[in-house]
Amino acid sequence: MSPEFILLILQGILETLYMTLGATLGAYILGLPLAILLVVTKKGSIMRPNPTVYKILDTLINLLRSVPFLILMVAIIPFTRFVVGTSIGSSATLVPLIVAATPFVARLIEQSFEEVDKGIIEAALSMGAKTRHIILNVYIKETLPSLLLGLAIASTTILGYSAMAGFVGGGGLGSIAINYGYYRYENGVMVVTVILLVLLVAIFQNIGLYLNKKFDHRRR
Amino acid sequence: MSILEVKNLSKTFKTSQGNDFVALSDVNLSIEQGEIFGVIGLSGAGKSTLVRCMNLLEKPTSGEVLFQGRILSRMRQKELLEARSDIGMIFQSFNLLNQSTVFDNIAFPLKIKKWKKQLITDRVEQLLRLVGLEEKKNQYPPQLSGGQKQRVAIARALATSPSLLLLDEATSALDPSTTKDILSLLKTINRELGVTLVIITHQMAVIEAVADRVAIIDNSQLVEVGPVRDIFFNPKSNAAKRILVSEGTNDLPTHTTYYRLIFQGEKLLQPLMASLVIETKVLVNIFYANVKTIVDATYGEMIITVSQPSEEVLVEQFLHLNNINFTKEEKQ
Repeated sequence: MSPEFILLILQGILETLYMTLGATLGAYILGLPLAILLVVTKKGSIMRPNPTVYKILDTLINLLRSVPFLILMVAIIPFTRFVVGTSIGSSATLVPLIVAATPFVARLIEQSFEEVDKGIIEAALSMGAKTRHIILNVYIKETLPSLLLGLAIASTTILGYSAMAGFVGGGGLGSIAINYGYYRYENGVMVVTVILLVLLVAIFQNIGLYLNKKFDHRRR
Repeated sequence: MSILEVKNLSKTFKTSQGNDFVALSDVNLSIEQGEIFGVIGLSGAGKSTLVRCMNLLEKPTSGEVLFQGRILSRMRQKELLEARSDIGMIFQSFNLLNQSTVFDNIAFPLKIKKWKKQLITDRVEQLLRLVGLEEKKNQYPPQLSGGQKQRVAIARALATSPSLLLLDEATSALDPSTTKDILSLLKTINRELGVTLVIITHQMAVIEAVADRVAIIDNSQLVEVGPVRDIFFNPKSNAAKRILVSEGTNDLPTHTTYYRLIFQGEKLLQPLMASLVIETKVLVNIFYANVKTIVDATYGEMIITVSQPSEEVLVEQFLHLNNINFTKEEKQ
């Protein structure tokens, strides 16, 4: 292996990590408030049920979730250009990654929140807790292990999306696989990038599982 | 002075089929400062709805709940939250935060009220001593037994020094000996801290062990209310009779006539049934017998039947002569 090749792969790894972690962070910054709004406004919620708000958010999330990532990425190119100034490279890929992952993350968090026993919320209400206390101390703290597991699922999914983005000039390991492995028939490059992608997924998955165990006090 | 008043309270739920389900209908109650007030009823009678209306976890359809003279449903949100920190609540399923330590669970209501850290630590330590769980403060609820969990819940409910404690089937998930421990803890809390207790239960034994007064809820209505001793001696409503004697008459065939005898003091030590049989020559059948302690006095309770209607007069004469409190009933 030439030093140039190693440098190329290293840069690919860094770009992939940049896209995955950046988009995961962005998706959680946007997805968490969305998920909180969902559980607070849901019908039958003992906080602030508001069927209209819930229905609008729910439909919006379903719509965004049903557009395949590659199509979405191409479809919002004008928006990406408007935000980043270009539609090529890993920074530009962050925009469609966040747009695609936010509704997914919101659903994951909502599902974790659904695990909370209504009785615990009632107990908090009976102590005079405000919605803010219930979200922080009950929803987030009680479901932390499940949220961390969700984080592993979200980050590995986003990693997969970022590799897909390589097809349309997204950068990272995906681009290397396409440009060298596919267009230039360099099978060795293809194998190396695939192995690296699999390894990265495994690392994210295991970090998630480890954190889940560490923060779960239910099974000790 | 009454700490909590319930006036013409009704609650109707919409079922999923769109029908109305009446959970409570025109309930009136007045709970006095410092007493232990029991509410008993069979499951589905509406007693849980009643207790949940008392801190507005459930909004009454009509009628009012007055806490310390102020109408809960007319309070602003901020006032309601204040009132709620003066009304503690304990649940059948404990409802503890499973990912928080025992210490943090008890500290939670104090954090809501923005207490200073040092004050919280002192208060929680004090509560841990009260419920006898000093050693468990860094453990998590899933590591505790049912009784210990309920002690944590009690400490948590007492953290803000409420004047009223609502207990919704607080002992129903516990075994009999743990129930006894929890009840004696509750009694201590009532006597020493002066906290008024409202105990919702379907177990007559719980009422008998701790309550001063009891209300009986049946079919969404309040059918009887009074001192526990009065209702134990002389239940007037059918629901009260059903609840009181259910344990003793479960296996009795319907339409059987039976006598419920209650005796106390030295009569507990006398061979009453033997004397009855010898003196009246009536062969009575003892269906159920038990000794109970109610408001610190011990009573014997017995359910007996006779085979011939003609023998009933003899038995009744004997009971009158010996000053034994009894009621004659027919199994429904």
